[in-house]
Amino acid sequence: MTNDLEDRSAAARAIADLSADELVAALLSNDAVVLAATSRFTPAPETLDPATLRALLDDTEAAIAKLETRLREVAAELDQLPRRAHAPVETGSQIDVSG
Amino acid sequence: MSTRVSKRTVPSDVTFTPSLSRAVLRDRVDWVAIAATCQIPGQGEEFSAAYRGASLEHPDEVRFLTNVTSNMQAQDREAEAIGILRSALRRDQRVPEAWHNLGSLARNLGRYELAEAAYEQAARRWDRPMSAIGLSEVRLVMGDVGGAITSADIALSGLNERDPGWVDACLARAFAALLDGDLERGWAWLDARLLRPEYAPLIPSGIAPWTPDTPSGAHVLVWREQGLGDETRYLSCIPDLLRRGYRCTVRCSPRLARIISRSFPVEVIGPDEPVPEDVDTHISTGSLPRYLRTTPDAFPTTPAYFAADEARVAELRAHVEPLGHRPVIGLSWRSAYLTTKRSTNYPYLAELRALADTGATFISLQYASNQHELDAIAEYAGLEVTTVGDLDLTNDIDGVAALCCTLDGVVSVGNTVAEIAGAVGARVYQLSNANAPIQLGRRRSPWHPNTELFSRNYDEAWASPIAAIADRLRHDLA
Repeated sequence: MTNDLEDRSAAARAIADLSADELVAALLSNDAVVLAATSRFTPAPETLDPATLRALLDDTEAAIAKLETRLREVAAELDQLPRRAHAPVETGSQIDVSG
Repeated sequence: MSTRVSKRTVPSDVTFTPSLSRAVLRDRVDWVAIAATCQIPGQGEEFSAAYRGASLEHPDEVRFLTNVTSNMQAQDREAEAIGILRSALRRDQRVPEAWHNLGSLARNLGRYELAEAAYEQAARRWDRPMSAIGLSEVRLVMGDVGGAITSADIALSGLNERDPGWVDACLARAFAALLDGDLERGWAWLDARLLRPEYAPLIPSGIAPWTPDTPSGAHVLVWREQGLGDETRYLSCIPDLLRRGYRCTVRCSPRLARIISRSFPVEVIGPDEPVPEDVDTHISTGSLPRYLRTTPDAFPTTPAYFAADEARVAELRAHVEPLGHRPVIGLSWRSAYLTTKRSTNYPYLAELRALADTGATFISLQYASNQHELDAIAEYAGLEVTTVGDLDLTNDIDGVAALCCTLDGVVSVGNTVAEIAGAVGARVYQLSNANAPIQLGRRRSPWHPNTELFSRNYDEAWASPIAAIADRLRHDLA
């Protein structure tokens, strides 16, 4: 369990270090890393001893704070990007020239 | 974009399950904003994913749901995409792109009636003629040649050469014309394919295109295009050029080089070899019919234009003879390149069952196959299919051609095997979609006199023409 929580804490830290493009790509792909980071409190933490839990929580909260900052930066960058209207896109494969 | 991350304290009674985590993540991310920054092409996956997120926030927004499905066709997920679009269209029927995409997805799955209905709904609501192209395509498959011509003409009248749908509209018009018996205009429309970007590196630069007015004696470069089967089919026009007194260099697929060299008095070069300096003019293999097959009687009646390697025929005959009792029939049941749309051209393995009752010995001519697939045919169709030696059916086209010459017949779908077998004059029983434009609506292949077509209507299973082939085998080879 401790390892599990540590993995998630590490994942959150990894996310905080992502570039804006990487972070958006991870969000878009429902990347397992993102999912792991947001699953940080599974399993129930009360099963851990208080000292370990406190250390991991501090670690995790710090990582989340960094993530929050990163998301704010990404939001600002997104605001600078050109936006297209939400037009529905048509799709259809090309006609095969072989007939 | 909202970036507020809840500083959650350790919950005592809540476990953050993956789905709850997903919800937390969703709360923090403005998917609609991200979707608005996604550009296609080149970001198909991200574009679709962003709209998936946006749809979770706005489940009644049909534009978003339509874009969720935008990359599913490329992933062969048509059935899933149809479900999403039908759900969207129950909420709002006003978005023509949703109807159009539904039509394209249904067409890929061979559900032509649904495709036609969806394209019609799109056409009523759209100021763009894109759905008319799809309508032309499905109406042709359904045997409505007049409707296909009308739809293609509507599309062409609303587009110009710079529009994305122009080439497809021309091809739809071409195929309708070919089935209507208007070969001259059909082949001319078909040349619009040369405008596609993938043709740019193939077309020789600085050399004049060949036309029938090119003086006899000129040196013509004939260059390959399309698949190996198409290339083989159109090479049937080479003798016509030679009879007119042209000197020919053929830039061909490497796999065809030997048999072309043996069959025609021409120079042969590979796709990457430089064009000889004294070449005067050029034409693609696929454009030869435009000038040389413009009337029904312009197609040759001689059974073969490819000459197999006699030594290899003898060698392979020694392998075939001990296989079992006659007749020995070659079999090919699919292409190597399979998408949802292309798969409708080929039977399920179980549909080969009728062939098991013919008394023939079947050997595989199927390229890009393996023993597992032969085992599956035995299991699902009760049909034993054997192999001949270690012949490489994918790369050794010269060997395949020689093998075809040792057989009593070849049963094949429309693919490279059918074309190679037809080109060496083998007796071919070919499965074909009814109204296949390239067959010009005929019951026998116009390209290969010894090839008989066994056609399936758009709403029939392949088992039907396969049963007809089994009957014919029993009759012809008794």
